[in-house]
Amino acid sequence: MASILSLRKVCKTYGENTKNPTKVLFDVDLEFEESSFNAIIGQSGSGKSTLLNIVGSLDRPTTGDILFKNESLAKLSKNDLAAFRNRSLGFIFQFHYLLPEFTALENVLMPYRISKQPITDEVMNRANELLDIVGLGNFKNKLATNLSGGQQQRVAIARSLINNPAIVLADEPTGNLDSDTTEKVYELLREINQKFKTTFIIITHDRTVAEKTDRVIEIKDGRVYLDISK
Amino acid sequence: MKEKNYEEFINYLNHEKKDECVIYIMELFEEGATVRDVYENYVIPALAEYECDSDVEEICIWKEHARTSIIRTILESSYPYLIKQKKAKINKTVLVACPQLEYHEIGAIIATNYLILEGFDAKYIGANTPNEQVISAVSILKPDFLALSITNYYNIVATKKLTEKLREVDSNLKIIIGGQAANNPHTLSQVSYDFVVQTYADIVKFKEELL
Repeated sequence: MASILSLRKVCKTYGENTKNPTKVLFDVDLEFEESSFNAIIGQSGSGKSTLLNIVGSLDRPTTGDILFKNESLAKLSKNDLAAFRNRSLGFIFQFHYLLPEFTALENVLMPYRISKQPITDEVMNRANELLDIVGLGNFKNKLATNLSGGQQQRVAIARSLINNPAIVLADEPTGNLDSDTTEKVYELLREINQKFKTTFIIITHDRTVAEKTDRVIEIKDGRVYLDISK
Repeated sequence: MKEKNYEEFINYLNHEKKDECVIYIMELFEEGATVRDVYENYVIPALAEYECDSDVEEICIWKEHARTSIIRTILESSYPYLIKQKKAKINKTVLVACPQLEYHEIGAIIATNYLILEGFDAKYIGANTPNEQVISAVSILKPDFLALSITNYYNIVATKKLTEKLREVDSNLKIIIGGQAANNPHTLSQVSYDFVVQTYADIVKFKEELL
């Protein structure tokens, strides 16, 4: 399988120009294959969220490079990076960040509204299809606040897919859910991975999720401590 | 020896007929079959070749667990024959364990029995053994080897930490790894180990290299 994302000697230091700079990532080399389903684990403060932010181009490495389909992201301007992020990446967080005054459907379409792109029939059809896939076909017009925690997370998953991203980055997507709902959300992510060939990189503390992924990367003290595959 | 066939045994297993399965294997022993014959020709294939004929995952899981339970009884019932058939002692001790949260222990039990057959003083200390318990057993029993059986690849996470700690505690201890998770060379490379043992033939070879 071809590489979709490469990290080359990625380092991250916060407060570089201060008296006490804090280095949180050290020479991280990682390769992710297209359509792969990966977990990143590690204790709090290990650097895994920093790593995900850098992979998601929400933050830039201090040194090193990220390559998306063999193209370096280092030279992209802020605007180009934002366009890349919008086009190629989807994000799911522990807290879904749905806008409460909007319906499930409107939340799924929000990335289009924010970027002021026209909501064509094709886009509307995709939003409806995604809500059907996440099992919320009958809840499209309900306000986000009238949905359960699991349903809200499923709306967030549909929203992350509206731009048909090549990679979905998830930071503790089941961290706020009970075990039954966790299982359903995992199954949904796996179904999307198989149906759309979307690459998943999931930070999780949940063993029941991590052990079902195809690859587990453990980050410890800012370094790749373990990298195992099925 | 009475004419026996594997399909008949598997048919009993597929229908969770425990009595028939155990009687079938006991008859094999009574007719002179060796423990190795029974494990290699019946027990291991029955575990390795299991294919669920249902599309319903829940059915597959309980059927597999029922099969494992029957196999467990067969393994326990084989022990008196194992005592009779084991080779001369070779003064090498092996502690066998499954790391924490590894509940698949049939492979570890078979490995322990094979080691005993080949003359090792092998002790199995259990499935899902917390790291500190493994370290305690190593400290007290002072085995020559620790064998870890890992089926679920995620348990390599705990195994890596365990093996690193064991190297600090006892630098002379040799670590053997086995089980399905050890079949992936890249995954295996993440753990500090000395030997990989997956089959009876591997144990025989391992023993020959020691002597």
